[in-house]
Amino acid sequence: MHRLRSTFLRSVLQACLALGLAVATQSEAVAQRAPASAVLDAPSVTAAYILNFIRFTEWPAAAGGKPVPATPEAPYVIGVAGNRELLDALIQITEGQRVRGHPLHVINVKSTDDLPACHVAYLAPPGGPYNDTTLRIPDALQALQGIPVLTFSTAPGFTRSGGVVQLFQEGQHLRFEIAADTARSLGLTIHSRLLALARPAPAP
Amino acid sequence: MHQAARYLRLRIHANHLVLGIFPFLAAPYAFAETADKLASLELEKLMELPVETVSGVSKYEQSIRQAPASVTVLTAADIRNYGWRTLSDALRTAPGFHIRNDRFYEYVGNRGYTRAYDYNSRTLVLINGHRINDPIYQLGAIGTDFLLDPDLIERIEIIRGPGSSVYGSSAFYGAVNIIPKKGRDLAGGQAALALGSSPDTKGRVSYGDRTPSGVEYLISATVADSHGESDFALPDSWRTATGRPDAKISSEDGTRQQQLYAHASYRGFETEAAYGRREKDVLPNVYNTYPGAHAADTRAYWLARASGHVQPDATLEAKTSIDYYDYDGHFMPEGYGFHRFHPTASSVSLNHELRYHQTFTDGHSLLLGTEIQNNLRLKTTGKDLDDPSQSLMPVNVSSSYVSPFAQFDYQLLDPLRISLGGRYDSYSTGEDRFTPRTGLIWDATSATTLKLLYGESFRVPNLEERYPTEPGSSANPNLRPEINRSWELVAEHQLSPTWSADAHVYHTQSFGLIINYANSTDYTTTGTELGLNSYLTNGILIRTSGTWQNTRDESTDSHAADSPHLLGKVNFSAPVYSDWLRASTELQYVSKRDDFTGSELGEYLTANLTLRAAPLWRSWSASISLYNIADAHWSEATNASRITTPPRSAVLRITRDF
Repeated sequence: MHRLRSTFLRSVLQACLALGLAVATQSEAVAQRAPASAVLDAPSVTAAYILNFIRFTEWPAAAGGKPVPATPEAPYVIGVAGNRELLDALIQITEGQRVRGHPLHVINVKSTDDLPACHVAYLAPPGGPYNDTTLRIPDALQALQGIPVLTFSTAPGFTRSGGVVQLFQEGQHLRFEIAADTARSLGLTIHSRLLALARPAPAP
Repeated sequence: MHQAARYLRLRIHANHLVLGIFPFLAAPYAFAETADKLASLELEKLMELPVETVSGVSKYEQSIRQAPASVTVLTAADIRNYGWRTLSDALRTAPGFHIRNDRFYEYVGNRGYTRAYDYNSRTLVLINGHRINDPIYQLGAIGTDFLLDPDLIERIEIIRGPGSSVYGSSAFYGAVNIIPKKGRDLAGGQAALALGSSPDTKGRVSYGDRTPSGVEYLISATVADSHGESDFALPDSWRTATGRPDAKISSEDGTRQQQLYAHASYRGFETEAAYGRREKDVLPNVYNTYPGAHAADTRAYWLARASGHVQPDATLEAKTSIDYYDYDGHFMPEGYGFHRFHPTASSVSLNHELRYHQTFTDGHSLLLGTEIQNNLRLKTTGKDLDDPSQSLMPVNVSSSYVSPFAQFDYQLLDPLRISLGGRYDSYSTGEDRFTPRTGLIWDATSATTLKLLYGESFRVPNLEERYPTEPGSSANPNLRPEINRSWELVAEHQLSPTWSADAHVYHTQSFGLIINYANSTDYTTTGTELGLNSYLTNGILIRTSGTWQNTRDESTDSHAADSPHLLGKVNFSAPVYSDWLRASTELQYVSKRDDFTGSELGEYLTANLTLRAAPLWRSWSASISLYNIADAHWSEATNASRITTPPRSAVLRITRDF
C-alpha cells in the first residue's frame, strides 16, 4: 500500500521534474517573460524615504545645542526605536552614503537619553508584540522638545502630538504627512519639494 | 508599518531558505543590492514603488510562502512574550513537534518520530548555520544543555522535513537554525535576573554596540542554578541490590549552567565564540542508577567568516570553525551491578565551508558550495571504578567528510518556480550518500501558494552506535546510514489582511533506522498539519495549529512508540493594559501514546501564562511566567520507563538596559 503510493508520487514528481527541465532549457524567451518578482520590503523603502528626507532637510547651525555635524567626518545620526527590521535596512542603505559630505550613523535607540544626539529619530508605535523598546512616543517627544530632530513614526496622530513626519500606507504605496509648523519651530528647513509631495494622513 | 517591515523582511529571509543559504548570510547581500538601488532613487520615484499591502498586519507565517520547506519562524519577541526558558519551550509551540523531557535531556518528537536513546540525532540544531550536533552522539541540544542563553536569540527558524541536501547528516526529520542577537540589538548593556523555580536563579549580563565605523560587537555571560524536584522514588532494584531499603535522596534533579557568547563583525568579516557547560543531577529512577548520579555536557566553538562580492551579482563566502564537545558522567547504574561507572566523551572538530552564490536576472539563482569536516579527536571511555575489568575499551579515533552541494532555483513562469538541490557526502568511515531535494512552488493566486516538495535525507551512524557503551552490546561493523524520503504538499492561503491559513499533507518513509545498534527498523509516517494565524491591528497575535499523524513501525507492524496521533497548539498574545502590559498564553495538547515499553501514556493539555510589563519603570522591564497553570499531571516516556512532568511553577524576570 505504502509502496504503491510512493511509486505513484515518485512518478508524479518525475513528470514534474521532466516538465520543469524541458521548460527551463527550452528558451530564453520564457525566462525573459518572467518578470523578476519585485518584492519590495517596507523597511527598505522606509529607509530610502528617510535617506531622501536627510538629503532635503537642513539642520540649524548649532541651534538648540544640536549642531549639524560639526566636522566633515562627523556623521548624521539616525536613531531607530523599536523596529529591528528598519534598523537593519537603514544600516544597509546608509553604508558608504554621504549627505553634504557627512557619513551617516544608525543607532538603536534604547532610551530617551539617546535621542538628543540624533538628527533623525524613528519612533515605532508602541504596544505591538514586536516592539521591544521601553521607550514611549510621548516621552520621546517630550525629551526632544525644542531640539531640532527630524522625527518619524507610523503612529496615528503623530504629527498632531509634536512629531514631524508621519508615515502611512495608502493602498500599495508609502505616503507621508509633514507637520511643517513643527519643523519650522524646531529650526528644521524641509525642502519645498518634500512639502509638495506630502499629503494628509487619514484620521486615526 | 513596523509590522509591515517585519512581514517583508522575513519574506526575504525565507527566499534565501529556498536557496539553501542560511538567511543571515545571504540576506545582507540581497539587501545590499536592493539598498544600493533604493538609495539612488528620488522620492518621487520611491512613491511610485508598490510596497506590499499590509495595513498594519504582520503575517510571518505567510511571509515564508516562498520556501520549499515547512518553515516556522519564531522571534526574540515570542521568547520574551511567552517566557520561553529553553529552546525546547519554543519547539513545543511549533506544528508537528512534541517534546519529552526525562530531566537529563530533552528529546524532539518531530512529525511522529522519536526514539528511546535518540539524542536528537535526527534533528539538526544550528547556530547561524553552524552545526551544533556533536560528532560523538550527534546530540541536538534543545534543553538546558544548549549553549546559548535563549535571551540572546533573535530568531528561531524551524524547518520540518528532510534538510540533508543542504545540511548533510542529521537533518533527517528537520533542522532548527538559531540566529543570535548582534551588537545593534543591545546598543548598550543589559542585565537580567530570573527568580523562581526552574531556573531557581538565573543571571545574565550582556554588552554590545555598533560603532560609527561599522564595527559591531556583543559579549554576554549567563549563570543559572536550579534545585529541581526532590521527591522521587529510588529504583527498587537498587534497594534490593544494595540492601538499603530505607535510603533517602537529597538532591537528584538539580541543574547548573554557565554560558558565554561573543560576536564581532566588521564589513564582510565576522567572528563568533560560544561556550556552554551544563551540569545535571540525573534522576536515579529514570536511569536506574544510584542516587547522586550527575553528568556534565560542555560545548564550545569558535568560528570566523569572510564574505564579499566577486561580481555585482555574485558573492563568495568562506567559513572556518573549531568545535569542542565534552561529556563527563558519574553513575552507579544497575547495568554495571551498581558499580561506580564513569563514562566520558570528548571531540575536537575543524569545519571549513566555501559557498558561491549567484543571482541571475529573472529571479534565477545558483548556489555552489563545499563543506569539509575533520573530526581530529573522537574519544570515549567508560571506567568501572569498582571493577576495572568491566571497563569499556577506550575508543580514540578520527574521521572526516567532504561534501559538495549545489542548488538551482529557476523561475519557470511568473507564478511558478522550481528548486533543485543536492548534496554529496563522502565519509572517511566509508559512507557515501547523495541526497536530492526538489520543490515546485506555484503562486496560484495573489493570496494562495501551493508547493509540492520531495526530499531525501540521511544520518550516518554516530560514534556511540559504532562503539556501544551499553552493557552487553558489541560493535556492529555492518551499520549503514539511515535513509529518509519525504513527499509533501503544502497550501498557504491569505484569508484576509489579518488572517492566514496553511495546510500540509506529508508522507515519509525511513529505512534502516538504527535501534539497538543495528539498522533494524523502518518507519512510515503519514500526516497532516493545519495552521491558522493572525496578527490583528490592535496588537493581538494568534498562532494555532493542529496535527494528525500516523507513524508505523514497519518492522513490527505496529504503531510507533511515543508517537501521538493528535497535537494541538494555541499561542495567544494580547495587550491588556495600555500599551505596556501584555498577556501571552499558550495551550498544548498531546494525545495518548505508548511509552517505549508498550504501555499507554495518557493524553494531556497544559497551559502557560506570561504577563510582561515593558517598561515597568524607565529602562526596567519585568515579566512573570506561570508554567503548567492548572498543575496538570501527566507522564512522558523515558528510555526505560516513564516520568511525571514538572508541577506548576513560576518565574519572575527583571531586565534593565543600561
